[in-house]
Amino acid sequence: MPAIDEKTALAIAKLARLDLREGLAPGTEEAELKKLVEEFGKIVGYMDILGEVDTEGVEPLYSPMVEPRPPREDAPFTAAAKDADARGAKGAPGKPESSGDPDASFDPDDPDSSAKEDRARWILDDAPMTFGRYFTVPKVV
Amino acid sequence: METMEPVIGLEIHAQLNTRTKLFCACPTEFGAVPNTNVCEVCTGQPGALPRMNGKALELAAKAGLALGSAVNRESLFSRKNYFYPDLPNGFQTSQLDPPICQGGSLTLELGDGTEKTVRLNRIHMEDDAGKCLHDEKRGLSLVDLNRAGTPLIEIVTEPDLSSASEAVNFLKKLHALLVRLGVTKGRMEEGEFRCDVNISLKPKGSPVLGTRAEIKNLNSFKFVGQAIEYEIERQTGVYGRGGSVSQETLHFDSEKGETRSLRSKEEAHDYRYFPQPDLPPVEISGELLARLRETLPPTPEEAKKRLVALGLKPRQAELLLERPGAPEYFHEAHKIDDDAPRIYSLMEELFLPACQKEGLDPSDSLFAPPKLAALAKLLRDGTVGRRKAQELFPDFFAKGSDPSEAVRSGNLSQITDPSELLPMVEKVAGAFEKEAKKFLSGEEKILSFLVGQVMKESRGRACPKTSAELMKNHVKERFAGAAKETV
Ligand SMILES: [Zn+2]
Repeated sequence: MPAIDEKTALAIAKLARLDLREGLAPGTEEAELKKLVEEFGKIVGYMDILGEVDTEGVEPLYSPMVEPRPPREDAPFTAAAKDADARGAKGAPGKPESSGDPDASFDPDDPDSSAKEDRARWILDDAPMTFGRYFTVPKVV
Repeated sequence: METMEPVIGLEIHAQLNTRTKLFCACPTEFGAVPNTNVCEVCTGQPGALPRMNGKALELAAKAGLALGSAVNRESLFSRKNYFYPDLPNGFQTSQLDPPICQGGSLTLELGDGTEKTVRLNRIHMEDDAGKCLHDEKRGLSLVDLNRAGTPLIEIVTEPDLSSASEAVNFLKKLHALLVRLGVTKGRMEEGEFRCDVNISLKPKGSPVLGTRAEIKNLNSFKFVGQAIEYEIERQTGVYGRGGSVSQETLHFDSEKGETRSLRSKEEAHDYRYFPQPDLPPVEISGELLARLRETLPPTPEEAKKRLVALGLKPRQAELLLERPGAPEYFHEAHKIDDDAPRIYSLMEELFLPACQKEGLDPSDSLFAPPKLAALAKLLRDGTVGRRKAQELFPDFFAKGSDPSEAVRSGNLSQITDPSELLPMVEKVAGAFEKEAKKFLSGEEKILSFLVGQVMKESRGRACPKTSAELMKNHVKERFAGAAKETV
């Protein structure tokens, strides 16, 4: 019995904003869709192997992280803080607060502020489409 | 038709008062240039790992403690999956089960003098989405991710409210409490406190709930009231015509004053929640909870009881509680000197009026609580009289001087009493007769020399102004005849 039927596959595709029929030659759609549904079913069926394990009385494991990850301090990003974080240091020297008023808006003369701006710039530059300082996408409403 | 009654539940989103986002160190400031406060985490770059903001956790737990919720020592973040351009991860990081807080309540005073307790279902933490602007001309949606990842709590009530005015009362009381606790800044015009309303009608007295509609994203108390009024009327009309209300999500158009359908149940989201594997379960220690509990301000009733127990009259306690910062100042001073009535009267007569005049919060005054406590002691001892205290207070207040220090160095006991000053004036006039006569003959400048001698005599304690007056009069009386003789 297939774990996934066509209706479910189409519903999931819709939730993922995928058009399963896109780009298919006319007349091949039904066959292609059938193939996809089968493959999808196989993947889910494979994962179902996990269901065979007897987990009676076993505590649910929500995260594979063994090391505790204590919460961050509520301090804004600075270059110093980022270096410290990269070294895995906790409460490292170069206290994040030391770099001036974190609430001030972007200041091109402030080295930490310009590091922040560089990062924002890289991220914008990597986007497929931008307009001014905005990311853009085809109109959604 | 049977009488219908509204059943209303609220979902309130409050932005937590943190400096940085929930899972990254980007600032949460409002109104920054688009996409300046963004990083790999809050723009959903592959491989970026979120890390929980400890302050956000504390604030969420604090809200729960103040609202009588059970705070879960371990809670879990889940992914709430949906696609929208302002949600770069493709999921919102939220809490399903267990959330940080469960249960709790808030009691309202109703207009008729009775009370109503509104139960809370839960409080959970989640991150906010970015913002979309829609550019009609170019057929584009513009996305600003500065807000993406900002920490929120969502407070979900049980459907215990039954009118627009109750809902608005509830929101106002909740807003005031959360702002007082510092959990949120609560600026509604900036979307820091906003509300979804679930509303249905049911036959009066019936336990069965009707189909509910949800009005999304109301960001003013006024709109909440208007939207509920409108929706009650709309649903009443639908039932009146023999129709049925459909389960749908509505948008309130504040300009037209009406609700409009955003989506129906058929189009409802399927969020496919699952535990967020990138975040470990959220743990909160018993020590942290105890510490947070201590930081909770008492309710107004508790605060009044506490002050009365220390020896204030109920009315005095009320007056003190009306002034922001005053009760805290009182308690600080009272820790050092437990003469509550005297501390109160010093605050009421001298300290608080001075603060008000300067537009100062008591906690910002240089004249800190220990100094007021010291002044209370000097008054009780009789070292300083009431009038003296009044006279010297402006100087103490302005400089933040310690009154007991001033006494020790002699500055405090300035002598203004003429009966105390006169013997010294007489003595000086006798010893410096030549100078006194010069004054009489018109050499006015020499008066300051004579007053200086009085100061010396009094070891600096004489009031110069009073001494000068006394000296003038005394010299005239004593040497006027002699002066004439010499003319
Ligand atoms: Zn970020």
